Amino acid sequence: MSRRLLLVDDEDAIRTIASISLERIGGWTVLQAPSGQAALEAAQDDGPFDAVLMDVMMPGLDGPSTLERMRAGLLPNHVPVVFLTAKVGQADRDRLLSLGAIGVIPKPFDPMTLPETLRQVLDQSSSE
Amino acid sequence: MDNRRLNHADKRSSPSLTASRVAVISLGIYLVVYVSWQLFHWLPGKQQLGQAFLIPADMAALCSTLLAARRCPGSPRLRSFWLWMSAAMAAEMIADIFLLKYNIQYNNPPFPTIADAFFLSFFVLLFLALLRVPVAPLTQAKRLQIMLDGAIIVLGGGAIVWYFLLGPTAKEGGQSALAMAVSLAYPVGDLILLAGLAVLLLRRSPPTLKVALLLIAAGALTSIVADVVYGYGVLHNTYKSGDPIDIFYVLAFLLFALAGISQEPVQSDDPVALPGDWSQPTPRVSWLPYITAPIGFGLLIGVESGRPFFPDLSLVLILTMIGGLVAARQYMSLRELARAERARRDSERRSRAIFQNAGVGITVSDLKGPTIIDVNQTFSDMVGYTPEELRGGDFAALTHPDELEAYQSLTIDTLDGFQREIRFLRRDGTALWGSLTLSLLRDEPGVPRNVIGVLQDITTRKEAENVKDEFISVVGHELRTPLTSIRGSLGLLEGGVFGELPQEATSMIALAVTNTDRLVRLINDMLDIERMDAGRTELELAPVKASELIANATQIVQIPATQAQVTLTTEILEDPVLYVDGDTIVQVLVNLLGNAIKFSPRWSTVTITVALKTGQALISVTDTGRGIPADRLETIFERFRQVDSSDAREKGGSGLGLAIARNIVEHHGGEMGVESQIGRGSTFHFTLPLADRRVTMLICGHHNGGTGTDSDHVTELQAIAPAIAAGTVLVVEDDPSLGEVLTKTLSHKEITTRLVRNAEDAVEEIRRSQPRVLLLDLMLPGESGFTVIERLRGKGLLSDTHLLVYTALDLNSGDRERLQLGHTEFLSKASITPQDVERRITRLIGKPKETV
Repeated sequence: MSRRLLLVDDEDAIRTIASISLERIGGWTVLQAPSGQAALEAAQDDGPFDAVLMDVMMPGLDGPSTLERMRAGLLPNHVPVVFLTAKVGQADRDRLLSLGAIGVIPKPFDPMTLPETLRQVLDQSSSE
Repeated sequence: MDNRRLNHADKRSSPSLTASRVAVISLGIYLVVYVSWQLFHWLPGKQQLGQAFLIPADMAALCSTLLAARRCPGSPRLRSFWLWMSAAMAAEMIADIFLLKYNIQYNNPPFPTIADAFFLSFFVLLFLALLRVPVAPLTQAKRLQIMLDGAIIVLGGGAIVWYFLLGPTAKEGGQSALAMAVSLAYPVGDLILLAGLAVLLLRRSPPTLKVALLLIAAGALTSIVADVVYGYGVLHNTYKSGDPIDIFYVLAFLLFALAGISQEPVQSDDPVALPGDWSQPTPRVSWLPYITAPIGFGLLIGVESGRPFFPDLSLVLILTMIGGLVAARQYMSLRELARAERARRDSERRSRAIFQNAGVGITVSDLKGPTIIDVNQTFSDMVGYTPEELRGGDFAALTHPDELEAYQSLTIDTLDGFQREIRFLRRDGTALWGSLTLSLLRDEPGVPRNVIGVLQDITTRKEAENVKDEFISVVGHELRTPLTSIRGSLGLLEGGVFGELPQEATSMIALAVTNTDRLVRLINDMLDIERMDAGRTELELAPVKASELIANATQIVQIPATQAQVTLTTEILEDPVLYVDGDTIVQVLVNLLGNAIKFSPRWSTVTITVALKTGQALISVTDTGRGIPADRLETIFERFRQVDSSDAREKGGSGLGLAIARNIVEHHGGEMGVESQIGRGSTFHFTLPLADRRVTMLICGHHNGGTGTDSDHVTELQAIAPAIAAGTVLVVEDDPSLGEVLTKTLSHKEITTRLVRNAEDAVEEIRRSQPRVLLLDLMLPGESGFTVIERLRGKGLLSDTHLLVYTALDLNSGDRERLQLGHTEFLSKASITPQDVERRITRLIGKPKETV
């Protein structure tokens, strides 16, 4: 039984590429959500998930706000959330981590190595 | 200027000055001896031997002028002046020796003799010497004036000489033609000398000769007086050899000797020895003719009325001539003054026209205020007021409030040449972007009087720049999003996620990948440059080891290096902790390494070295590639300037990489450069700041003179203590009991506490023990805590520190400014916990060393 991942990104192309990469190379079962609102619904209806990979900048409900609402009962605290973002300054990283995310993967990502990068982030947080 | 002062100071103690003093004193003693010989009639009956006293005076003058010539080896003109002077002195000495011989030989010496030939050559030689004096170049009008002055002097003097000497001599007759000619030659020689001196005194002489020329003039005048008296004595048969009037001659030659002594050493004709200002003739009305001419008239009339030697007609003629010349001279002076006035008014009108019609705004304001004294029309149009409204107003009031701090650091010294792009406020409240240049207007002695501001309206340019920046930013981001998807899809295809592709398809995809990468790089570089230009790059400075950054960078370029069969080696001589934005420095290193790999031949090595250089880290990347031509070493750092324009296509660079790299390094306060040899390779090197700057905490509080301990301070410090690890905490507290409690509570096995009561002791203690933490009561009675910081600033203490001001006080911007010391950061107790502060310190200075 492969692990289930919720992928949240407003860009169709990015979502498609990431999910192909994660499914074919990483062996995840990926459920896609095109917006924060859709992600909240997915968390409620299609759970449980083993991890959430979420874009930061999205129209409507952005990544941090979505995370905040998910943590309010929709998503168990032990489920790791990783952000995808183009901004990777130390301050941005610190801010995202302080919201309860366990890691940040910079955009643009290489689809060939994305599953490996994600695995490292998850391993690191579980070993701590 | 300094140089000259230095030379002067040297001379004060030099032996040559002592020698000059001895010489001057000896000459004085000699004069005293001679005068007393004349007064007290020693050796009665040997009166004619008085002539012998002249010879040592001549000798002194000869020696001193020769020495003066030797002191001017660097200036041929001055040297030749003194040599001609010494020739004149020698002629006089020879003449005096002959005269002495005749005086001893004959009771009634013959006239003229060979002595007279030497006496006359003295005049000629002295005159020639005066011609050698370097003088300022003259205008036509000035030359005419001098000629008129000379004519007036010669005519006035000539009239005197004629009525005293020549007239009577001519009337007496009974002498040989030669004797007649020689006795006429003396006063003529005097006149020529007088004219020569007059010309010199009217023109401006070089400062190095000023004293000497005055002494020579005094000597020559004395000598002329002596000649006149002598001539009178000879004519009236009252002159005897060794007569007391010889005192004048002795005095004259002692003055010449003094002139020689007064010559300061001149090493060269450089501007220090002969400063430029002496050669600038200042327009002035010469007083000399107006003094000489009346004396001439007076004497003429006096002599004429008493002793009518001459027919009235010639007197009228001479008077008319002198009168005419003086009038001509007067006219010349007035005309020159009128012309100067006209030129001044023209220049004033011209300046005014330029001021009013200049395409830039110009303001003139005083040093205080600054209050506007005058503005031109362009400036008033720019800000939307009338010039009348602006005059008398405050210049700062026109400046945009956000920009006022730009002026705050200005002093008289930094103001001159101040240039800045600054916002102003128009009358309607809109912003005016201006490029402002300030300069000082000084008066004649160089005292600053006014500030001139030149303002160029760059609002349109600024707006265009903003539009351009925004355009690049938007287009860049819009391009990047689809490109990311294209690159991602290509990556999946290339990676074989969808199975093996036909050979041709694989190569097509590789082509697409390479070019997509290139396009992505170009867009990223463009966005980087745009961000830097717009000043939006914010560096996240943190301490990081140089080796760590290099390891990151080499890891990134390892794959292309392997593909190019280039070996990367790292030589870390020192591994300093840098205070940099790590990501951007890795970007710089990747760029330099990428270039080095691209241009390196196969099987070669690219070397990265780290060393320390004058308080900074020096990182170099060396390749053994084809090298860069010398004329390109600077331009390669400009945008889109590759060594070879085909490089862009062949090597896939954007042409922006080095510009970005240098920009990043400069943002860190470092410098980037390159050295290269064609065919041998290149070394790119750059410097970066070190992290070993000290961090000082300033914890500010105040107690309202009340009771109890400030328990907050104690808990705060205990939280921060781990970051401090070891060091001194200085408590500045005037309340003895509170101070006691604070120090006791804070004392820790690694931490030393010191207590001082006032600002003065605090500064002293900070200088001595360099504390890590300063607990400062801002409201110390009498002198405030601010005083401590101000004194530290005054003494340059803690200026290299990273000062963290941690306070619960509500500091306004003025307070903050007063607390600035080196790099200063304000942390408010309201929003930042002591634990945050500890983390902040740790990030600044790295992890505290573990005590093993």
